[in-house]
Amino acid sequence: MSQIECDVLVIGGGLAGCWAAIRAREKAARVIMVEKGKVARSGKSSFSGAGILCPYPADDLDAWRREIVVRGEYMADQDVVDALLAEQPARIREMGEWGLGYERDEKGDLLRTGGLGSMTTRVVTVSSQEMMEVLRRRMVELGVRILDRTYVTGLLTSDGVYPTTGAVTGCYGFNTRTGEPQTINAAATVLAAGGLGYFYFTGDGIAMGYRAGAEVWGMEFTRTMDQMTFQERFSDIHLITFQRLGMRLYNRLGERFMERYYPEQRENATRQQMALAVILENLEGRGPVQAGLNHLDRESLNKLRTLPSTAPRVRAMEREGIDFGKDRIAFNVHSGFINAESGGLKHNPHGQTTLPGLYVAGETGGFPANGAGTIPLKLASCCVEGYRAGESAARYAIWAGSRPVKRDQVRWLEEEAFRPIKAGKGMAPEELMDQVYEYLRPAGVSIFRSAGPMRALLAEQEGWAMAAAELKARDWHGLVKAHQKRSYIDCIGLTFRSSLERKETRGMNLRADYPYRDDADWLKHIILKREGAGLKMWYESLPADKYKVWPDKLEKVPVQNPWPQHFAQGGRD
Amino acid sequence: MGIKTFREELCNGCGLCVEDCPMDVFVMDEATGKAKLAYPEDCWECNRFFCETGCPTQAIEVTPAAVHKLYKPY
Repeated sequence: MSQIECDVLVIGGGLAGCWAAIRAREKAARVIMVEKGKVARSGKSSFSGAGILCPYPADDLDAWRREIVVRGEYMADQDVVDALLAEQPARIREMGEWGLGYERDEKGDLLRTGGLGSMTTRVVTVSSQEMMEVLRRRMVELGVRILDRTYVTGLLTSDGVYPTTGAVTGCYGFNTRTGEPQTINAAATVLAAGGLGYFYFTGDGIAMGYRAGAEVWGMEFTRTMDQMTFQERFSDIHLITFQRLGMRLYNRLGERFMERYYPEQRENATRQQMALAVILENLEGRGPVQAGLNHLDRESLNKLRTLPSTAPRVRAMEREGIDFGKDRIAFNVHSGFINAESGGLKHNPHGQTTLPGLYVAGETGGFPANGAGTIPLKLASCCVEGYRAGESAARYAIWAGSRPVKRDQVRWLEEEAFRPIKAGKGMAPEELMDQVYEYLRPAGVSIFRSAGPMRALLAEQEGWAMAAAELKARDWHGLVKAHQKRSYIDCIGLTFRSSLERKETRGMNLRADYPYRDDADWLKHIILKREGAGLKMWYESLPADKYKVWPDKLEKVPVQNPWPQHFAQGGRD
Repeated sequence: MGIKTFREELCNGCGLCVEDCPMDVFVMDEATGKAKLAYPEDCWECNRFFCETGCPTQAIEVTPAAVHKLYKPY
């Protein structure tokens, strides 16, 4: 069995992980990155819309802070927001020095545009593929050792048990192509394994940290309608480009309904706002919804066909017979794909989780600058929080030094990791996930939530979790999937446990039985922690006295979102 | 199906698609020295189409049409 020693281990090779590894390597000698896919070819960052929040010191940063905090419905960690505003210019500059090209205006200055739904804050656009390639190159230059195709199944702990009362000391995993086991002993570990989403964005980092005993926050803000499609066949990746070019949405009556819900932003609302509006139009009998680009001029349409972010997809859709210049196109929202951009492992503004030796960055940490909302600051958070986590981890590694791996723990992690491939029977991962998605599908179950359906869902989730622990894999590829589904189902449990607890509507915690935001009672985090075989839950208030942006009155505020009337009487506690 | 066509006869065995796909849709076939469609069900039409755009012999064509079952909330 192979064991590697290092100072700092970074799990996950997206934008946050790369920044963490780069900064860690500037401080510590032996830095290893493991990635289940391939750095610069996988991770959410490689496929992101790549509008990066880009503040300048001369901007009215008080106004920026206010927009971010208000859109996050006051749940943001304002110290992290301030860190973003202060440090992101340096991160942008450094990526430029390493060779990343930004969209520029005719004078050669960075071209800053409004992010979706934003009135004040500005983003600069890059090619996400190029960005990730630049970061990979930088890591190689600095001597970060990259282990692609390595899937981590669990963290190592100094006491050898979960939940640990000691420190995190590395990880256990295997090569996804050869099945070769890999134990990595690290003085400090950064989890930057992304969040919960679809396909291979399965909340591995959140579940892994939780299992080891780290505290989790914000999971109730997980949203469950993350995918949209054209013609019910073509997924909406890079919808942002369609939106920026002027895509319009129409209901069955030909009405541009987004104007009714969001008079200012209209079709430039956030993905979540757009998804909610489309769902409501359908639920209230004004569907189906169509997207129109046929009013655009030739130049804009050609942009769709030539921009690197949309060209392959749009050209392929045209090959399949869609004529953007002529037809309106069916536009739908799909449920069952969960996205936890506001929930994850609790951490301080320096990336430190509640477990010694474990740091977190990017979506695994739930983007504390985001609050309960979803503002386009996720990539900037990855840069700044990644940098900070890398620095903290390196400092800790130098101070704490390495601790021995517990042999017993490696043995049971190994048994757990390879059990699905040795199992003779059990469900296939896809079969289980179809059950899960089918259950989560109706809007009244997972999107507009209420106590009764959530209790039933949680009972169901216990069954899924048991089935997930006994999945069957026929090869290494299937083994990865079996573990991913287990993570995913754990995260569903954390999501709805938190959601049931938060008795108000805030962010994507849309409580049909509590159709108001309650600033008097709920300006606090819900924290979950594993205890024995069970779970402990408690609240932590936000430090209002040191925050610059805060509601004027602490009272109940009626929901601002589009709201479904017929879920309003859902089973209240 | 995400991979619309894979013309094995055009494949020169360079392995770029195997290297690039985050989902292991392609693997190298030791017997033929060429790429093989191993897990087509896992193609998620990744928008970048790394396999199609990277292929030096244009052996791969991806369609963005979803291969996965989609679930509607309404």
